[in-house]
Amino acid sequence: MEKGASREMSFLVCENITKSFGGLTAVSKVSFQIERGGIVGLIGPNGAGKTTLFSLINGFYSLDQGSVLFLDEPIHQLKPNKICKKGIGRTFQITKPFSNLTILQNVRMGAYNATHKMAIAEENALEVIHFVDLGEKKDQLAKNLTIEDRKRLELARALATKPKLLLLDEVMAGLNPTEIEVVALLIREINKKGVTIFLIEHVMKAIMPLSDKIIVLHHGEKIAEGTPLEISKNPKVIEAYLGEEYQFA
Amino acid sequence: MNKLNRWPFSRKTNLFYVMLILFLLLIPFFVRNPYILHVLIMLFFYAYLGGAWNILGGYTGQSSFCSAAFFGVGAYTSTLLYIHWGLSPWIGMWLGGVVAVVIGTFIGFLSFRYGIRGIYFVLITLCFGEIVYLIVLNWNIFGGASGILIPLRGNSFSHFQFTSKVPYYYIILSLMLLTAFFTYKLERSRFGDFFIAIREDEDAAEVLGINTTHYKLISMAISCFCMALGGTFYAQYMLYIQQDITLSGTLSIEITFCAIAGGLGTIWGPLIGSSVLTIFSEISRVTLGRYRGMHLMVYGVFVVLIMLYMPQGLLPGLKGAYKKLRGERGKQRDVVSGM
Repeated sequence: MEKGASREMSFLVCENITKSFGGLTAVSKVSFQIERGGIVGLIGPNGAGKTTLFSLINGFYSLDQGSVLFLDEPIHQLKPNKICKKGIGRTFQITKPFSNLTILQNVRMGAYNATHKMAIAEENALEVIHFVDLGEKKDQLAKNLTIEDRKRLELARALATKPKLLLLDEVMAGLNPTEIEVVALLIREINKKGVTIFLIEHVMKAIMPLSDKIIVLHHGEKIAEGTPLEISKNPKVIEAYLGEEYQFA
Repeated sequence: MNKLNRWPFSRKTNLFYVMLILFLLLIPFFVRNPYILHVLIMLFFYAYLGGAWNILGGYTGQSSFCSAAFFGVGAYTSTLLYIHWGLSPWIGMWLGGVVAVVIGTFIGFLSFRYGIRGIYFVLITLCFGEIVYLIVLNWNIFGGASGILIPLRGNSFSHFQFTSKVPYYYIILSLMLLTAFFTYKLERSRFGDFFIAIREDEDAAEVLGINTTHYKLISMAISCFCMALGGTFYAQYMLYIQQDITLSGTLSIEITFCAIAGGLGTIWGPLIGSSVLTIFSEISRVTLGRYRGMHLMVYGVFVVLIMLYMPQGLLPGLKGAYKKLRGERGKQRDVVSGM
């Protein structure tokens, strides 16, 4: 770390990202930076463009304008598989398991990102499966899993690609409070292993204590950025998103 | 020991396969009846083509409806090279394969590069099949509507011509078994995993670092290559090719039927499908032949019944029924890793 200090490398830099679908501007001139090692939250009302922003970072959609730099390298013209190879993993809001395959086979698919050998991929997959606590279910078919386990599987598969940056799209949605606690803990543990986390979340109680920094989107524009405390006091955010109903503890 | 490299079958199953293959190899020593041999040849022929289709359609999930086009490319390439330059079909066979791969990857590239999926890919392949058919029909070099007769050379190995059906039987049987073996190896390889991932969910596969375009092209190339080899075999077996037989949509659909009816994404599915469909169609033709067209209707109803009652195919369907009979519920094996 000391040696690298002379040459500061920026981790993820998004500059002026814009994307429209027909006449609708889903994401408009959004710029922000993410430093290595933290947990960054992305919040905003429904339809604010959060998932679109993720899809732009991981190459699922192409940018209309702007640029995405990852480790000082422009990645916005690469396809998702290349971006994954560079070290950005992603989960989907609506989980996309390989339904007819077992958990182990599912996670193995991700593990190939880091190795070409099937045996090593399987070993790494098993490790990740145990890490997310799906060890006992490793031979179950993905289609028979509960929502919570599906979210874990989605997480495990993305983790198996050995990402440096992990984009988590509402991994806690649809879970009950106890399950949310467990997943939050899991995310912290992943972060401790050195994976930078960028997550979209609707569950305020979960994201506020979890994040080091929060970015707020509204109508495709970034309206605020700061620590959870700053965000919770920001009048623009309260007006746009938190509303009168929400009271921050 | 590495779990993955272990021979996956039990001893009993191994013995079963050895016996089955031995039995198939010995059939020509006991069966002299050319009609029965012909039925068996056609049975393996469709099983082989179904297996080739299965790699792209069953494992990679890209349903192609232009199998006949690549089959025809193989048949016409080797035949034209043989007639005009006297090149042995044994060599022409591989060249036909190469031509099919080139054309196949081109079509694949056009479709996959621009993200054409599902029903739209089906449409593209249907149109492509029709294009090839029309080109061959209207271009004199391909013999036009009257087709091409391959000159008889008697019993000659180098000319890929035999007066007896037995050599053809062994050739198509080996092709079929080789494809089954290849599929078996594929299921246990990284490539196979990627194919299956693409079938299950292309977006998810792409996000996990799998270059979906690349692997779909590889799958397409393998499938086209095998189709073309089948085309040469057919040309040499019938010694006559004509676009209404070798390039017709009917052939494409028959090939697809075998794979789907037998069980998509399974090693032995195409053989099971082909066995049931070929034998049924022969029986219905023999018994109902007097009533013109009747056997085709019965055949159609039969296929509909299979799809209604065993939508996942005969092999997984029968396996499921067998398990239920033995009361082995609970331990559900997935369709893909089944044999």
